[in-house]
Formats: sequence, structure tokens, C-alpha cells
Amino acid sequence: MLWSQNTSWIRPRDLYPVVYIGLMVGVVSAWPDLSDESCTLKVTFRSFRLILSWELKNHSIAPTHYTLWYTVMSKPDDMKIVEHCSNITASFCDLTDVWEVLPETYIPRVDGFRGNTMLVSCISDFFLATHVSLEPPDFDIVGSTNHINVIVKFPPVIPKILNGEILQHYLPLVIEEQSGKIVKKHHPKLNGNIIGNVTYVIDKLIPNTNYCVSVYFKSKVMGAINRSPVKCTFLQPGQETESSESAKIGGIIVMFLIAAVFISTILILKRVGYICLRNDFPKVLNFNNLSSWVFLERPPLETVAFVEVIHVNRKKKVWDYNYDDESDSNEEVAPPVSGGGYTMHGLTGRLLGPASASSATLEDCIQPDAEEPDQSEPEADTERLMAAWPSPEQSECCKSGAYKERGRLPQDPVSEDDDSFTEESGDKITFNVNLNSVFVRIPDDDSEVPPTSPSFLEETANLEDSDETEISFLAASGEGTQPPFASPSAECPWPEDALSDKSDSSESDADIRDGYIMR
Amino acid sequence: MINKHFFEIVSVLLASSTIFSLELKLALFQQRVNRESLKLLSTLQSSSIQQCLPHRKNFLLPQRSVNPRQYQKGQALAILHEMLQQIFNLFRANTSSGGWEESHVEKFLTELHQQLEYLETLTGLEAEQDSSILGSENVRLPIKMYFQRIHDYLESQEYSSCAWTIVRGEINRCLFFALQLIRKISKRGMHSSKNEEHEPRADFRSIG
Repeated sequence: MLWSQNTSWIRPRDLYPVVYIGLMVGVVSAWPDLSDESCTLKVTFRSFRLILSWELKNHSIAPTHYTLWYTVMSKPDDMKIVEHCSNITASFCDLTDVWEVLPETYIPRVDGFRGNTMLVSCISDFFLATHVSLEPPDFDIVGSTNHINVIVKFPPVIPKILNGEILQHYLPLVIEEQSGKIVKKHHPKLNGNIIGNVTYVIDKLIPNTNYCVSVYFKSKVMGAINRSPVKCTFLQPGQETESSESAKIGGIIVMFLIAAVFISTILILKRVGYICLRNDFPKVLNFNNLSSWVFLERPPLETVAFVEVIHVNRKKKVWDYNYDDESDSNEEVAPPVSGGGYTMHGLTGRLLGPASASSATLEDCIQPDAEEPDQSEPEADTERLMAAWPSPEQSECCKSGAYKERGRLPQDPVSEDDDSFTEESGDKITFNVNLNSVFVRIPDDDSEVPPTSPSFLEETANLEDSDETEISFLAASGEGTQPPFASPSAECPWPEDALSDKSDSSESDADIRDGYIMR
Repeated sequence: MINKHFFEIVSVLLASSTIFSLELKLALFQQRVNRESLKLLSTLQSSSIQQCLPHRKNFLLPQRSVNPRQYQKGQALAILHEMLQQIFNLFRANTSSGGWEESHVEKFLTELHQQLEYLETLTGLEAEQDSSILGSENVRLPIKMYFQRIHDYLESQEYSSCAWTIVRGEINRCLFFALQLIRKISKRGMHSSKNEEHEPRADFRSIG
């Protein structure tokens, strides 16, 4: 084979374009993949957030960070950078607040860098109304006996792209309820303003049955339906509820029966007479008069008999053995003088209070015309008198008489006609008399000494010249427990027998002379 | 991606619009169409969107026209009918340059035609009750002008793939507003023409 001189060899100069082209091809091949198929872009709704995510088809290319740009199809606008998705390491970007028009074709571009070298650039277009993939919302279920509460979690603020009628009409919520092979779909109506969680109740369910629930958005315009993972719950049988209700009813019935048995037992025992229920309650338990119970009535005032003691001081007179009648008639009525030279004094008491006690005058006790004492009563009264007196020899007529009457004081002759003083049985008047100042005279039959009214006379009759004229009266009101007062005339006479017996028993100091008990 | 699933999107939109049909018969038909449209999956030769970005254009969609709040029932139906009719005309005449499969386009046009017939029937029934439909040309005009701009754009771009890519994106928006129109018509149950005697507003403001 002869090499021809005419053969045109590829001169090195001719190879330069080839090499150049080859190099260019190599370089071009080394250029970043700008085709639409270099990566896969996807737009989804995650928890109502519009998320653009991308994935490189060539995994050998591993950019360190990405930058996102976008534009729209309806207008010849330039690419705009998404600030919060610039130089990011994540392979997704939240565009909820960037892409806000649903019927719009958005054209995103993702540039992948390693350092300052752009390794990959992906571009795509999305008509959001049809391309967005809706992920199902988060939800919870709460099962009961015959119903299930489905709680769908919505964000506090719905994105603008889903605002208004979009979520209501183009993304209707569907709740699927499945039990065995039976599937039912529920379409809860969502209003335009959805804030927070939405609870939907699936009722009329069969107790003691397992139900599974799934929630998704059924897009009438957008992409495929993406169902949520099912959540199942077993509805508790209704027996427990029924048993609890029946238990409550039974308990109430038992209580009623017990109460009825108790009441009937009480009634039977009462009728039989085994128990006697009082109807008459004591006065203090009488609450009929509420006012009197609330406002305690003041106890009736005790009838206190006040006795004014008019002390009569009688001077000692010495009888001058003058039997002149003139002296007797001219002079005032002198108090009777006993044989012992003592002047009689009258002890007069006057009741100042309401007529609660009868009164008796001392003179009544010493009237010679006094009726014969009632033996029966004096005896009893004597006992009381003796009980009241510390020593029988110190007993005195008036006091005894008064004591007989249990406190009936001798009536003041001044106020004899006083209508305020009225006898009143049942009252007790007691008074103490200082024996050192008075003497009690036992009236004799022959004694005709008229009784005087010593109330206005000052006479001293103190055998011992004692200045002590203490006379104290203790007036006590009777309360029905005291024996009734006897008439002073019948009570007044001194029970000689009783006193004599008593005096005989203790005659140490007492010396009866001329009817006076002397000490 | 828009070229890939364009017919799928359009079919879904059309099928979705049937859900809000006023007549049960039409609703049942649209359910069938919906199932058929789901089968119209075509992988279209698509131009890189990156290359088509310089060919974008704002066609000024009359957003007020697709807002049924100010229109009566008959007028809203007229707007809807006009939109679907214009889409039908757009794809029937010049789909060959789009690089789509003929079968897919034929099926899409057939379903669109049937839906238009139902709308025409419905519009005819409403026309007997609603005298405002006779004066619906005023509401149709903005829609016609909008699609005329689309036609002019395609013609200027010589029906290139990028032009069709841009147009497909615009048709998606149009169908979405039509869907809103249908939903609002079916929801509101607009009053008869006797209750609303005022003339529809003729001032339109294009979006973009």
C-alpha cells in the first residue's frame, strides 16, 4: 500500500477545532444539568402549609445548599428569589406566604450549589389548582358507646391560598368510617372561617364494635386523593352504661323501700301503742310562736312585794301607878303597856308592790276578838314558823302570824282601804325581824288593849336600848309552790300549844311573863 | 409539565364543572365524561418551560366576567357557554401544531361538544323563563375579545410549542374561573329576571 503524497493527512492544525469541540463538549457535559428532568419538584400541602420539595435524580450530584427562584406564567415577569429559601441546606421550602393565587401557573427554579459552583438547576411549572397534592390533615378520634368524636386539627390561621371558598368548596373534607366491609363517608360542612380544631360526631354507631376512621380532602379540581392513616377504636358495649344506669335506679328504689319500711314501722308501733309520740311538747319546745321563740320574751316580772317597815320607837314608860282616868283620856292613846313596863310596838308593814300578797296588820294578831285559831293550820304553820325561827323562844306573834301566812305582812291600817292591796293567794312574803328590837306579845284573853296604829308614832321599845333596829324583810313572790295564804284572822292567833311545846323544849333564855316573851 | 397533562387537566376541569350542573341529567353525563377524561392521559412533547419563558404574554383575562355576583342566572350561563365554545374552537382549528395525539384531542373535543349541547339546552330553557338571556351578548363580548387575543398570539407565534404552552396555561386559568362560575350559579340559585331588571355592567377590567 503506497502512501500517496496526495493523501490529505489530518494536520494537527485541523485537529484543533475537533479538540476544541471535544473540549467544549466535555466542558458542556460538565456544565450543570439544566434540563427539566434533572430533579423532581413537588408541591404539597402539609398541615395546610404549601411546601415545595425537590429531589435530584442524579444522586451523585450532592449540592451543599440551594437557592429558590420563581415566576408566573400569566405575566412576563422576571424570576424572583425567595429570600427565606436562599442558600438553604434543606431540600424543601415553605411557600405558603409566597404563592397566594390558586389558579395560577407558578414556575419555580431550584439552583444547587457546592460552594460557589452551581451544580444543578431544576425548573418546573405548577398550576396550583390541579397540581398540588393535598396531604390529609391531622386528626384524633374519641370513641364512646355509640358515637365517635373526630377532631380534625386545623391551623389557627388558614393560608391565603386556601382562604375563602377554596377550602369550603374545592377541598371538601371527607371522613370515612369503616366497620368490617361497610364504609360510610361523611361530609362535614366547613364554613369559610375555620379557626382551630373542628370536631365532627359520627353517631348512631353500634356498640361493642370496632370502627376505623380516615380523613382526607377530596379535591374537585386538584390532585389525587390522599387518605390519612386510619385510626381505629372499639366502642365499649352499652351494657356498662346500662348497668350503671340500672344500678342507679335500683339504688334509688332500695332507698325508697327502706324509707317506706321505716315509716310504716313507726306508724304501726305508734298505733299499737308500743311507742308513744308526744304531741304536747313542753313550752320551751313550742316553736309555733316563732316570734316569741326568736325574740325571747322577758320572763314575767317577779312580783316582788316591797314592804316598808315603819319602825316605831316606843319609849319606855314607867307607870306611876296613876289610875286617873283623865290621864288616860286626855293623853293620846298610849301604846299598851305590859305589866313588865314594856311598851307595845306595832310592827306594820305595807305592801308597796302590786297586790300580790295579802296583808295583815299586827294589830289583827293581837286583837282580843280574834277568832280562835285554826288548830290545823297553825300547827302546820307553826312548824314552818319554827323552821324559820332559829329559836322558838324568839318567836313573836306578829312575825309568827305573818309567817303563818307565809309572808303575809300585817296590813298597814293607813292603807287599809287602799284597793291596791288585795289578797292574793299563792304569794309568799317572808321577812326577817331582828329580835333584838322587837318583842312579841302573846295576847291574853283579858287583855283588852286596843291595837294601836303605830305607823305614825315613834316609839322605841328596845329593851336593851339597842340602837340596832334592823329589820329586814325578805319578800318573795310565790310561784304556786307555796301554800296559799290563810286568812290573817284565822292564822294570826298564836299557836299556844305548839309554841308552848317548843318553848318547853328550850327555855333557856325565854321567860314568859304576862304574855311577853322576855329575853 | 403543563403540556404533559393539559388534556388531563382540561378534562378534569370539565368533569369537575359537571358536578355543579343544575340538571341531574347533565350531572350524570358529566360523571361519565369525568371517567373518560381520566383516561385521557397523554404524554405530550413539551418544550422546556425554561425556553418558553420569554414567550409569555398577559392575555388580560376579564375577571369580572367570570365573577357571577353581578349577573343573573341566564347571563352566567351565557358566559360559561361562550367560554367553552371558544375553547372548542381554539383546539379544533389548530391542535395539530401542538404535538398532541389526535385521539386524545378528538375525545376531548367530543366531550366538550356534548357539554356545550347540554348547556345550550339549559340555556334554552332558561331563555324561556329569563328574558335577560336575550341580551347576553354584552356579557359574551369580553370573553370573545379575550379569546381573540389568544388567537392573535398563537398566530403571531406561528403556533409554536412554546406559544401553545403559554396558551395551555391561560386556558387552565379560564377553566378554573368557569368552575367558580358554575359553582356559584348552582349554589346561589339566582333569581329570575323579574327580580333583577338592571342591565349588566359593561365595564370590564382585565386581570394582569
